[in-house]
Amino acid sequence: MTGHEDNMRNAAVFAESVRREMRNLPAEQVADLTDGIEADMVASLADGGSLPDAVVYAHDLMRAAGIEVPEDGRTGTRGRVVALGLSAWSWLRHSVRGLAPAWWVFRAWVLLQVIGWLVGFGGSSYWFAGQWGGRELVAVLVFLVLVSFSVRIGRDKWLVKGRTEKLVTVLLAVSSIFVLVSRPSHENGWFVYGTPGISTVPTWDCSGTPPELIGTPVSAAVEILVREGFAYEVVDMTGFNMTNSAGIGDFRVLKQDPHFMEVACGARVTLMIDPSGGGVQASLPGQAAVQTTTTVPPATTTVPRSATTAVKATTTTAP
Amino acid sequence: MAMTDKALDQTQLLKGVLDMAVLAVLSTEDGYGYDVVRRLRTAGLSEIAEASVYGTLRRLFADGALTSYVVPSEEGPHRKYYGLTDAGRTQLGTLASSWGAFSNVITSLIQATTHKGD
Repeated sequence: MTGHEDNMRNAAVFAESVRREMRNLPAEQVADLTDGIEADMVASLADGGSLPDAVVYAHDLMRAAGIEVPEDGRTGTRGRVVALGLSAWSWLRHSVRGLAPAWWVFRAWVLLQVIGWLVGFGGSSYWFAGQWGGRELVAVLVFLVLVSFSVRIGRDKWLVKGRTEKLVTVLLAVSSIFVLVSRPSHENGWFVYGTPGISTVPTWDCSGTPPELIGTPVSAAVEILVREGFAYEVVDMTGFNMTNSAGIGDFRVLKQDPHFMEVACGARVTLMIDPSGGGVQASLPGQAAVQTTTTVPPATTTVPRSATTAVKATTTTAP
Repeated sequence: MAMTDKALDQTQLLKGVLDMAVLAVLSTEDGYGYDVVRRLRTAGLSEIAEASVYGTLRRLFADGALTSYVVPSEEGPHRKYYGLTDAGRTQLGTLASSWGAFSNVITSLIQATTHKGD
């Protein structure tokens, strides 16, 4: 920190102390008396001057301005101790104010985590987007928007003012504690947020949504589903259950039901594979079949959202 | 001890003439609070209290003797500049006349006392 910045901070703290000594006066009169005091004090300090006693200074200023100085005992020992304590508090507040830009960025990141957590995207392998599943790019874009808002609010008191600002600050501080305490743990290449000592794997219920598994090898897809608490089954293009069949681990998932981001009530996910590698049936068992003439590369095949409905499976393997 | 007494004397003397000193400084050029203090100190009023000057500036402004304007600063807080109004120039003229007469009386008294001592 440079000497000039030190002088500005000290002048601001001093001016606050002087204004506090004038608290018995109308606010407008205090503003008239102390307007420009910071600049004068910065110039004085730059000139080699030292900070005078705020109480004496305030009283001199008032007397010279023709204002009667109230006799409230603030010049006694106890009053000076109180004034010293208040000045120390002012100094601390002004010192912390220098960290404001870091706080603006940090609270935007906390809000990013809270949003990801509320939407329920799940864990990411990147700490930055810990609650945004695999959507790191989206998380970055949202983060930039949040930082933009946060900086504007911080610099211009935009939208959020007064008590609302204090309330938001408290909420963000509490959220920060939650996000930091619920630190990410590393599991099989995945970061999953959770409360330490309780569980690091989220428990899925009817409100849960399965992860995107299309294009994933069956072995990896099954591992993910088991870890996240889903029951699953693997079927071929005709709906024949192949869950316990050998040698299906390397086949990629062509379709899944419920689809990615759909509610998985019943918590059973059906994965469809094509062991023959031939024509692809574009609908799930129980639906009208649509014949295609080419083989679609598994990794890029997707199912229209309208074509996915609940699958009634015959065999289920619970995790 | 002698320096303290001298400072006290100057402080006591300034009480009656601070308005005039501030108006005199601003009659040559506008200035902000600490600038006025600095010019007064350079002129020889080394023991002048900053707060007294700033309070005097506020009071003279409230009385209409001074005008005020704010000059923003990119390096720090804004500065509040003061300049004389016509009423301030008139007031300075009146005070200067009174001071001239008063100081002549005091000077004559001192000189008479000094000659008597010789």
